[in-house]
Amino acid sequence: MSAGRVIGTETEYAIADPGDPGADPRALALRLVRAAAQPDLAHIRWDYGGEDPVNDARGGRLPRSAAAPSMLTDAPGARLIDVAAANGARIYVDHAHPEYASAETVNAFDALVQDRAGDRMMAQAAERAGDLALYKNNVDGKGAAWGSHENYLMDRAVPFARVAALMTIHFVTRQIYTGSGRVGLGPRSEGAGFQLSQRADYLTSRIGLQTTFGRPIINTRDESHAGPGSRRLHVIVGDANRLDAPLVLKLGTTDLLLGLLESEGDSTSLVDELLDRWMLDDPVAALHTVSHDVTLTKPLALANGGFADALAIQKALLGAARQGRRDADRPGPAGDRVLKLWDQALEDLALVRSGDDEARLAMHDQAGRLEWLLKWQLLERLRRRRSISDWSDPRLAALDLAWARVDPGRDLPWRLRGSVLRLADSDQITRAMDQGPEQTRAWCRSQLLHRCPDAVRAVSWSRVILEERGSDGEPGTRVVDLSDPLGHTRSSCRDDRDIYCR
Amino acid sequence: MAEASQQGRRMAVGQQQEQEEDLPQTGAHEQDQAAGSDLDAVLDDIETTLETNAKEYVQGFVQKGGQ
Repeated sequence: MSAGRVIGTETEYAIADPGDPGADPRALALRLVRAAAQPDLAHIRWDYGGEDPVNDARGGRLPRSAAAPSMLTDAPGARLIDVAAANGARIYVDHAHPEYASAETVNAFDALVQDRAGDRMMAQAAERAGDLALYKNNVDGKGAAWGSHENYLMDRAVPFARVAALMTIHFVTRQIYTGSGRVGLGPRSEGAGFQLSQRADYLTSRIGLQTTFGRPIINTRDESHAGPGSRRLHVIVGDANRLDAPLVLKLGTTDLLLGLLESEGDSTSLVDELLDRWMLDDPVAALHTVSHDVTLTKPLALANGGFADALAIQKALLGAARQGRRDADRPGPAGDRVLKLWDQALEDLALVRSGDDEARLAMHDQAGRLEWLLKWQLLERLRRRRSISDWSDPRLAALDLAWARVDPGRDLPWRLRGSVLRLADSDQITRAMDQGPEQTRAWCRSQLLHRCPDAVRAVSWSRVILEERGSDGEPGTRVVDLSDPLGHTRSSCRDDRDIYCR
Repeated sequence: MAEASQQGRRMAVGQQQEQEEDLPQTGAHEQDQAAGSDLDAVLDDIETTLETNAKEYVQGFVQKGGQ
């Protein structure tokens, strides 16, 4: 994939009305999404023609009659409202959460920019909807969880079982640098304490089609929104990130490992070796162990009878990804930057592991790259200032929640912006709130919405339906086929105004 | 004395807020500060709120499950 891998994020936000604490979250989400609609685009429908929520990547289809109602996301009335955003993104109410599904990009850094653009757009909408409070996290500590999903387009020729096997190892262990930290242990915070990940305690199965109950580490929803040669890997296991480095690493490392799976020749044996050596005996238990282990030392049981900790496994994954790129002669500035960040993260973690609480509190640069460490530093400082010994003290949970509040120009991550590694340029983010990414079909989708919003009837990821008058003056419909995610880009459309609007 | 310095930091945070998002991009090292002083400034700013209504704030944050 010389043009890069198509990557996008889907963020479900939490929402509250400070003036009406008991308000129904569904109603609030609806209010926010209505406020997100640009008036000249408000008439545009989302086209569900391309959705297929019961198609399973392991092969076969779940009969619709056997599916839980929450899985049938394409059913009439399943979505309360859908908004096509001018930048090519989709904003809607998913269950009871306002969701921003970013436009397609071609690398982790561009995906970060789109994701941050989404935060600002949703925060603006929250304000317009009557000063609602918007949060980017994954748990309420009372049993409810919601998602921050990742999407990767990949070569369908790679057997899904192989993808699932390698990704399970990665998803369990990458938490050590992608985790955003959480106060509370267990889905209802039954236990007091701090853990690396928001999401881990809500993942209870290895693999499956479902996303709202018995959540699996590997989600098998098979709906590429692209041509038959492609598969979209839909990842539901990750945390919402406020820092840039964890989000880029989450996307970038996964991209590199998918590249390894897609490569032929020597890479095949690299993957075989990873699977032989590091397959986990009980991935769900290991996911929880890694998240709960702030010492970063707990050994995980391997399928081959051995033991290894998450950091050791991540070092092996990084080594293979680096070797695979060398073998495949597949240079690329984004991939190289990710490798450097990945290496840095593992170095940071080795230092963190060796340090006691005092040493960890003093790790300034590392905390600017590791979100859970920065959050822990804030909490630990508060604990010491106020002599809080019990991790169930509500002041700690309140600080965790305050960290998630999205309020550009005022929120906690913004106030600490001078101390954290920033990987997205503010001007780029501003531009991304309006213009689609230039290197994917999102460019064309966004252009159509800018150039002829009145003519656009419906939008989906893979097509746009336009209403137009033929030469005889009769109204008709034209479908712009965007099934190739790397087609209809800015460079391929430059002088061809005809593909847009007549 | 401690009170006065807290006030000072609070004001500094307030002034930064007004500049909003036009600030140039800053890297991890450009505003290198004594370890933790940035975190302490943030805590100074929100500590009073945390002291007064943390329990209510946390209990009131109830969401429905999503994906």
